[in-house]
Amino acid sequence: MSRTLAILIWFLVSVAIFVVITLPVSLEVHLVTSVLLIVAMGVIKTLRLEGNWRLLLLTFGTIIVLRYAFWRTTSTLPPISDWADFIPGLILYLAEMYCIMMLFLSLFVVIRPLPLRPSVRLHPGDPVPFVDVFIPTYNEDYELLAGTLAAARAMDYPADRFTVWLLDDGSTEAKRNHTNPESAAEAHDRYDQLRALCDELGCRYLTRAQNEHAKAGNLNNGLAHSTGEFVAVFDADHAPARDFLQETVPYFSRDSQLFLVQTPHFFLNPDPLERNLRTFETMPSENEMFYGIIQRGLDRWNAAFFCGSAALLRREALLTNNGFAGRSITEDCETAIELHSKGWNSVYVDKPLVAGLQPATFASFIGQRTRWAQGMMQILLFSFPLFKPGLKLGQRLSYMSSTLFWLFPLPRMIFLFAPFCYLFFDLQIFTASGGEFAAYTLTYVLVNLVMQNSLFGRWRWPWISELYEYIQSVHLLGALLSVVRNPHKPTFNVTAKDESVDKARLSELARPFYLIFLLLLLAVAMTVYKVAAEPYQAEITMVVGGWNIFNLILAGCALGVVSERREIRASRRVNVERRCEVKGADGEWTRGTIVNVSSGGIAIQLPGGPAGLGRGAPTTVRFTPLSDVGSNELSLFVRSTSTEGKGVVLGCRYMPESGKDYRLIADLLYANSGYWQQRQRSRQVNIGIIRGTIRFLGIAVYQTGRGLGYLLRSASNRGSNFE
Amino acid sequence: MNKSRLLLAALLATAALPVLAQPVPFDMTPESDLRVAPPAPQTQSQSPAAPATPAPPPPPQRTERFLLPSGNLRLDGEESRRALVVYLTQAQADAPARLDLSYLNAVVVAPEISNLAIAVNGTEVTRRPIASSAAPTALNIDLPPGLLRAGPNTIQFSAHQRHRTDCTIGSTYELWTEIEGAAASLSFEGDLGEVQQLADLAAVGLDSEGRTTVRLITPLADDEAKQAAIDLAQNLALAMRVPNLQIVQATELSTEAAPGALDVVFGPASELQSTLPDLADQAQAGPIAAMVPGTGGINTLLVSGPDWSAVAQATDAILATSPVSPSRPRIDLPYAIPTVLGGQSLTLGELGVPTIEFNGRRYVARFQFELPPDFYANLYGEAELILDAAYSADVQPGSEIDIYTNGQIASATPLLRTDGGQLRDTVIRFPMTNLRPGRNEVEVSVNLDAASDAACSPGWTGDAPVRFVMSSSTQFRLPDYARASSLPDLQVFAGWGWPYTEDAEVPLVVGEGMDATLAATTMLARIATASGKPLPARLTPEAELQPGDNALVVMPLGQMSPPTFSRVRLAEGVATRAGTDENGVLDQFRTRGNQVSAVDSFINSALERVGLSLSDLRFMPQQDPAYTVAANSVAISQTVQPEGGVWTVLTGLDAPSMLSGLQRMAATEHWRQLRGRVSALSTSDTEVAAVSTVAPVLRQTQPFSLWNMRLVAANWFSGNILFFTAALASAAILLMLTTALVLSKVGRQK
Repeated sequence: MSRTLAILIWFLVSVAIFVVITLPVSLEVHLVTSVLLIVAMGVIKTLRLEGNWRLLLLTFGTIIVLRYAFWRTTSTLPPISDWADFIPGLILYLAEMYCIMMLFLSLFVVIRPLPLRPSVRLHPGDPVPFVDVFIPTYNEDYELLAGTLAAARAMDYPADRFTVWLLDDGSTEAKRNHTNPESAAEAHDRYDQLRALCDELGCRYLTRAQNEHAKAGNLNNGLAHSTGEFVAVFDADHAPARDFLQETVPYFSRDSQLFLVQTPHFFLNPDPLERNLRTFETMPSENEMFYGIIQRGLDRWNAAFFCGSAALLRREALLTNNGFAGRSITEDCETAIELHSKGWNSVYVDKPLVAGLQPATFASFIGQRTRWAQGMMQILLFSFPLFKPGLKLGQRLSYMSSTLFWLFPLPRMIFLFAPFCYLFFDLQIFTASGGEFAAYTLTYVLVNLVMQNSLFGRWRWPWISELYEYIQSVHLLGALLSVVRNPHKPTFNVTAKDESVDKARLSELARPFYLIFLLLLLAVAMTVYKVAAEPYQAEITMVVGGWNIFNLILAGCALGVVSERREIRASRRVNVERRCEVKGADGEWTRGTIVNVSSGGIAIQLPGGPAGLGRGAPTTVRFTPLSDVGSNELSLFVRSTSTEGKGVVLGCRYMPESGKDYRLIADLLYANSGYWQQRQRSRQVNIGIIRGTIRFLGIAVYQTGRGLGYLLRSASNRGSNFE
Repeated sequence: MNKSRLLLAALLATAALPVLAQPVPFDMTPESDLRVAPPAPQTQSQSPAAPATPAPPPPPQRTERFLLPSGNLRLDGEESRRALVVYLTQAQADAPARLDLSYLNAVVVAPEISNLAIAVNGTEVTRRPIASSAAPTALNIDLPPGLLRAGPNTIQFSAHQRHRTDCTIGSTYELWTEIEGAAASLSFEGDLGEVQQLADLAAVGLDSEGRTTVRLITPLADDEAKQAAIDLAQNLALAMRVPNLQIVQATELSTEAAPGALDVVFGPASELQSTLPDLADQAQAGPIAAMVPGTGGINTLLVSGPDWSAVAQATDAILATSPVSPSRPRIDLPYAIPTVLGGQSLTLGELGVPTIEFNGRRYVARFQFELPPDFYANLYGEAELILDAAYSADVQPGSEIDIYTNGQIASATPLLRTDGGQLRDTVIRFPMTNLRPGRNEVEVSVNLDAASDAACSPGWTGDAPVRFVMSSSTQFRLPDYARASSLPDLQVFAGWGWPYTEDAEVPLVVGEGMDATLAATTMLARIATASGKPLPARLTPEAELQPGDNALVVMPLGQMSPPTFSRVRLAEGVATRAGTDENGVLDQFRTRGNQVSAVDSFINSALERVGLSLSDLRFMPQQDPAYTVAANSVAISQTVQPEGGVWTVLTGLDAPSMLSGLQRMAATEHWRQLRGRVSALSTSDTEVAAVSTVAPVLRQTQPFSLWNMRLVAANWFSGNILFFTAALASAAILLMLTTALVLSKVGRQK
């Protein structure tokens, strides 16, 4: 059967379904039908049926959502003549329709994500193309860069076939000649140190005259000074695994039109939400939904896009576009959409091949998201993907999904404040009886949950999306509006990754969250008052009040997010198992095993006792690196010892002195991306809607208390050391 | 017989007294020496065959015309309005006339602020305080000359009633004024009772209980006579414009004049010898339909001719001289009743409801409208009332607008905000569940919760300033509704004669004996009354009945031949033919729900919470089981034959109970209760019992259009819930499969 015929049949069936869905049947019919379809969806989900069953579940869900949309459109809008009701009513309606549209767009994207691509390797005899590895930096510190450069140098690829470039925008000529002598001196120091580091590690150092076009300009400067067939880009905090090039280079020989192989960003540390809510070890990270399924879904439509790092690109393709695009502040996605529209292809490899750092504080997290949201808005405004020439339909819809997603702060804030219209101002912005609300809205919400859970359940637990959206929306809303006001205004702000929260404190962005929480509490009080004082509309009041309480739970949970826990960046450990030898106090080498490593130190298990090493003792460990580093001994000092059975575990801190030391540390940390994948998989469990909801409620109650506790402490310590 | 005893009897004869059925929160009876007992559940004091005349015969020099079509007339609530039509001859219209009536009111009605107004042909003839709680008060109002006219005259009663002490909404239900049927009359000077013109047939009028009796003076010996009698009855019912027509057979002319009675001498000239020999010759000359003069006030109609076919021609002349038209309303339907089609909207003004300024607590507006016989939207969809009203600052949120359709509550909308003072274009939507083809009644009840009523100072019920205004520009709007005929449905049959009105000729099978013939004439006359046109019924022998034709059958069960009996899906009551159908009896015992499992009852109680029952969720195709006709009852049953014909059967276990049952059933209050596939009324019932249709057959009535099909589907699915689920689910599976197919063709596969 031809493709056109299949699509035609699909279209006809859709029209028929549309006719049935829009039949104005009675409320009871809708209720019974929805309940039965939800039960069927529940059965499919509980039995974990895959393939066409999953598709059926999504189809059932789609039908109920469409019936809701039909009812919402035809029967719930307030009359236009009551403009005070109508305008907020229309705004709420549009917000809901946006959510439904986004549901369908994401359904399109992830309807059948590509299966995992099998691991690939360059085979002996395959041509080995020359690769330039770009590591752009702006203000990252020496140690972080040393780790990343060392890891890049350690990649499993013929050493004469790749160059690692440190593209330093922190020591440009302009910066070194800064009018402020202190800044100029700082830039000079940085320039000298990083040049020395590069020399030592065998990397190339490159800087430029002016900081033009931010990251894109920096990368383009790198392009201008290099000639390799392919370009790998790693953010300064993204240390590649040894097998990065092996896993990505072979794809290019299969498709001469391929411009991009993107791999996921994997993070060793939690984002502020994960850290403050203590969910990092158990719950899948926020970005795993994007890299775990959405990029795979985009890949199906040849619309996986460049995420700024952890990717390999074809120089030839980049040159057709005059290098990396720099009109928006998200140069990565913009570059991808431009090249896609020129007929180039992209591939996504779902295997973590870089390990990076999340922004450590809530403020820097919001700063990062502001850049993404603003950049995506710019793309939406500058090159509206739905009508961009050159793109295929699937790509158009995929890019629409990727860019429109960032409008989420609008509906989120609308949903937050909509109940106030009724509770405080007595506006009727949603005309429906209690029965209609139960039959249509509740089933819709439930179906939405089931669909989201079946699509993304492994990567995103129930209500966590709402929480992430809420904590970002409070500050992103203004940022989005500023893009609309002046699309060219936003500037590229580099996200700080190397901060750490050394004292428990309230985030500097916390204030609005407490204000909102207070408003929501007032609204709860208002609900109670209204139920008692206006019994004739108690039904509506309870429905709206229930919605407000949901918002309160979300806002309470967010209080925990903005209450920053104390944590030291370097403490996140990765389990490994590497044989090693430790130099004892007597100078004798003792056999042991390295059991875990972090960016700050390692733990060594010594089965035969501490070999005379106590707290504070300097020592040396030696092991066989996986790549030729030119050395195998690493200086340490012991920070702790703990007995474990007959043996002892030494907690040691690195004392890196030279580039070689960094290469050894990188070898330990980034040697095997298999560990990372294992760690992700252990968290990627769908815990289901019921357990997820209970868990979320538990977190919310606890975090509300913690957030309020931090507020009290902050108030009592005002002026002292807490804030 | 003294007056109060008489009134009591009249009250007892009234089947339902809604006001008295209400729990009265507080009773001020000590002020009154008259206790009105609540009506006994069942009263059958008079036999319809011999109408008693409770009032003493009027003095000969005055002619009295009774007015009330349904016994007594009751005016409830704070503002109430009722009207009726009376047809007069020219002589009556010209004569000096007096309106006599007697009324009683609830003791709580405050006389100083309540009044009763009577208007004749739009001119108010009296307005007086309502102050008759102790004993009925007679009113005798001389009508100004020139007010009455020949033909229809409208008499309207309006009551403005306020409670003596209570300012609550509940108290308004205690307000009533009742006008006694037997004492409400229009009387004229002179002996003017005789109707002399055929065109004045409607002036025959009513007896004191609101009935009209036609005495057919004919032997009704053969089929030709029966056929003619059936046509005659229908034409008479329409020409006389009365709702309750009793048809009896007699052999002799009446000996004295009686109100609301018409003797019809009927038959070919050869049969007139015993009754009107003087006119036999004239009848021999050609068809004749004329009032017989000189009968001493006894209204006598002669319908005759040389042979039966000439009699039939004469019959048609009756309707030709008194055609049905909007200017000749039925006496109990004085206001215009427009037909409302899909997408149409009418203002309350067009529906006969004026703009009102109201200072009470509960304002009720009633209006009627007609829906076409193929209205098929009772299960989905909503009608709209677009309010154009205003209220004072006194009105509180929580005031409520309730809408009743045909007596059933359809929506209760609280006013959530009362800051604006205006309800402009405020839309109240209410489900069309209780709307039906034919005549519908909608009641809009505005319950006002006013701040000042809480204090309720003395006299406040009357002194309160105007607090609510409802404009007659308020609109009633029906959505574009589905048009299809769903059969069997006795409601449409009773109200429209559907589906027989569309046929050129309707085969009619009538059982043996006079009772069956009278039952057939009564039933057809009643249908004609409701639908406004006669059915082309053609007497047919039972053996010639074609299952493909729409047909009517009027015969007791025992007379039915086995083929007919098996087709009409009826069974005889257990008492008479026990043992013939043991399984059937057992099945019926089961289906009556004697074996409800625990699971079923749990599911049922869960479903009840959302307004459903287990039977709404049936999936298996069902058949309507045979209905067992009980003794002493009349049943009307409709079945759709597999060949396509719709058969409606009027039956009973024996002919006398069939006839007497039908005569009760034909009363408007019962006739409007007919519905479903079987409706039955036994002598012990006060309400018609109906069996709803389980497996209706849909018939297309409109030219095919996708839009109508869509609406028909919506209504059908709304009654067949699981089929909708199944349709959606199978469509979903189809979509899933095609999506899978498309996905295997587009996008990357690996």
